[in-house]
Amino acid sequence: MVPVLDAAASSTTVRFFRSIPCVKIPGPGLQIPLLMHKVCVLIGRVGRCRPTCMPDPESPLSLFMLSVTHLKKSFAAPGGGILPVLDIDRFQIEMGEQVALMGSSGGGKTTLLHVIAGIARPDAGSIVVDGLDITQLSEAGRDQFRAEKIGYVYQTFNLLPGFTALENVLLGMTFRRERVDRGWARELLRRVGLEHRLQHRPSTLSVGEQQRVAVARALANRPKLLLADEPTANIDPLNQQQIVDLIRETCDKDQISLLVVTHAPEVASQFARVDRLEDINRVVQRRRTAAGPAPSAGASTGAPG
Amino acid sequence: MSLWMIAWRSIQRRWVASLLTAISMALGVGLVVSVLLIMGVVQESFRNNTSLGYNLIVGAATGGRLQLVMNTVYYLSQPIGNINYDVYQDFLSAAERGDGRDGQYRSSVEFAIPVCLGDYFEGFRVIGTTTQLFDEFQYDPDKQRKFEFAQGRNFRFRDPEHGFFEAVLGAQVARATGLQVGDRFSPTHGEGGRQHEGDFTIVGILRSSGTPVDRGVFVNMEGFFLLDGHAKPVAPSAASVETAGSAPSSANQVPTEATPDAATSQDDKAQEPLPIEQRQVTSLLVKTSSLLVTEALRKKINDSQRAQAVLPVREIFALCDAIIRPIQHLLLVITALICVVSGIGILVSIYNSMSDRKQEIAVMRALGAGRSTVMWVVLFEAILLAVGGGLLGWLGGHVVVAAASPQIEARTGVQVGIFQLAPQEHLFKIRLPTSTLDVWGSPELLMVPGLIVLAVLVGILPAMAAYRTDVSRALTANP
Repeated sequence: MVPVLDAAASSTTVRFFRSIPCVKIPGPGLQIPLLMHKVCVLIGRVGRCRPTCMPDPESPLSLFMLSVTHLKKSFAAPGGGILPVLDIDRFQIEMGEQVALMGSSGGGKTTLLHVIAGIARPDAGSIVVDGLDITQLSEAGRDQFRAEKIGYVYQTFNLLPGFTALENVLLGMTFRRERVDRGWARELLRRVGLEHRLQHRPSTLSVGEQQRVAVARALANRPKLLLADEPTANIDPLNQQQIVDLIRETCDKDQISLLVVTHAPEVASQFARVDRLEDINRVVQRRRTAAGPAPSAGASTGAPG
Repeated sequence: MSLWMIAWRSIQRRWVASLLTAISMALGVGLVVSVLLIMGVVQESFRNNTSLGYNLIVGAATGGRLQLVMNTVYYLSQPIGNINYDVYQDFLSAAERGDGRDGQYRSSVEFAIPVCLGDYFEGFRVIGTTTQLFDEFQYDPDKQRKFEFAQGRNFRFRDPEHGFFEAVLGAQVARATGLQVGDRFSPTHGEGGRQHEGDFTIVGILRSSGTPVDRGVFVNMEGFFLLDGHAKPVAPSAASVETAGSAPSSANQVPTEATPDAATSQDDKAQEPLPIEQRQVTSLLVKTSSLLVTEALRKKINDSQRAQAVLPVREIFALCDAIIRPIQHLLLVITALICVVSGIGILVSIYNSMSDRKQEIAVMRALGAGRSTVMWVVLFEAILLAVGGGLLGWLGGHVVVAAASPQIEARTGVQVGIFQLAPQEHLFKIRLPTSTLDVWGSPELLMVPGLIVLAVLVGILPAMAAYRTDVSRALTANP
């Protein structure tokens, strides 16, 4: 954690924003610029002011892009009753940090990503992304939050088959408030090496190319946090590394925090920080103790996803 | 990218199903458009015949106005009573009357053509009238069109050969009976009644005009009067005066239209015209000298109680409203129901592909689309299919009717242009606090909003399914 923290702190942008005088407002580590606060007080709308300062460095949440605390999520079991899936006390990702999360199938990886993205609602706990507790938002608010802050790359790409590569990327910025920026969509496709495939439909692209379109789409809204769910699982080995490099380099360049869920050790090993879901998800821990003596962590990661 | 574009891509992706549903909608709308256009043609042809060149019909004071119009304009309905000949004479000039003074209504009218009804020939109406109807009368004053002869000529007041007994056939009558110029026939007294003794010689066959005249058998009124049973029984004293009158009183003088003395050579043809007092006509086609005097003249005639005058246009419009409108509405309802069925086709098509769409919807939701956004995408798709298919059908309907236009014109005399909308109608009323606003327009214009409403109605169900899509589950349930 420490090296990433240093990296983030040393970035010139971060240092610039740190230099702006800010005041705390209610909320975990939330601050707004002093000047803006005065204007808000003047017009009597302090409550409506959005936190635009870097989070308070003294607050425990200060430098986290993602902070999951006391998260609980369960599903209704098919035969009645409740099937707990997630029970995470604390899981955090810092600004610009890249994290690989390993776990066997059925460990709740995808559910965790859905909850972080605001697609699913947790039963309890808080999820603060970029200073915003999304569990406090309405569904429409979470949709808007997702449209503006989250990029999502899927194992199965989830490109829309009726749309061209360019249109799929455009779709990634269609649902946020700002106007669609075609130039940025082309630039993204150029970055992933598909500038010659703009008008191709997914069915005419190779799987590697499809995933590259999906990565471009995930970046289309200039997200703060990129979630990748087994991004290389359906791709031939030749292209796997390309996709990993693409995702990591882009996140590095644009200061996007990255959470990659994978069960491939060769992917995970490239990350400075590798977390195991069974270490943070108490549901898995409980299941393991109930099933008998715990197998080694390395063995469990080898299970297919 | 707009939601419309997203909806369009979805249609493209399922183009076979989309095309089929759009075509079914096109058929429905095409039928609606055809019905509207054809009904417009029917109405117009109905109304065209009211501008036949006269604006007042004078007939018996007893009997309904509509029946008078039906008889006189369309040669339909049950025969009606007659009016005295002196009513006709009131419309004539001094020269025509031969008594040195104009009829009391003369100054108000341009012409008055008498029509005598009551006889039939093979199911067609026999109309006794004067030569005016084909010599001078313009049935379409705007285009200065007169009735034209396909063969032969008009009947003469008194022909050297046939005397008063000449006839002219309407085009449809000639076609149906196969009679030719030179053939002879005897009308029957009343439909299926006894046959008259006198027979008429056909001297002309009219060209089709798309008017009821096509269905008429026209005979010289003078000959018509002379048929047995057509003379009005008169008081013996008056009749004796008439027959004995060496110097007929001026008011009772028979028409003297170049009565040739030499025409009396043949025994049967040498008949004298029926005396004035024994004459009756069924109705008069009157054109007033100006529209300003029409109402005054009508009132004057009606007040005289000898006859009634009706405005055919008013009666025909009333008839149109009473008979044609309900049929039109019925047909419209049926065709609109076809559109509704096509709408249900759209519903089925979209609903069937919902499982297919669930994942696409979930992906859009994951990209930040709200529930209502994906709902709108589905609704837009339904609207595109309905309105797109509708436009196709609208075009198709117009093309079909335009293609049939020569036929329609031949039969009705009404021309239909390809982009001519169905005639304007009173569409609906808007009630404002202070007044009501009547909205007029072609009913075709209502179709676009109608289709959108239909599309929204049929799109609601799949749109609600889209709205309720469980994103998390749809994303995990990978194909």
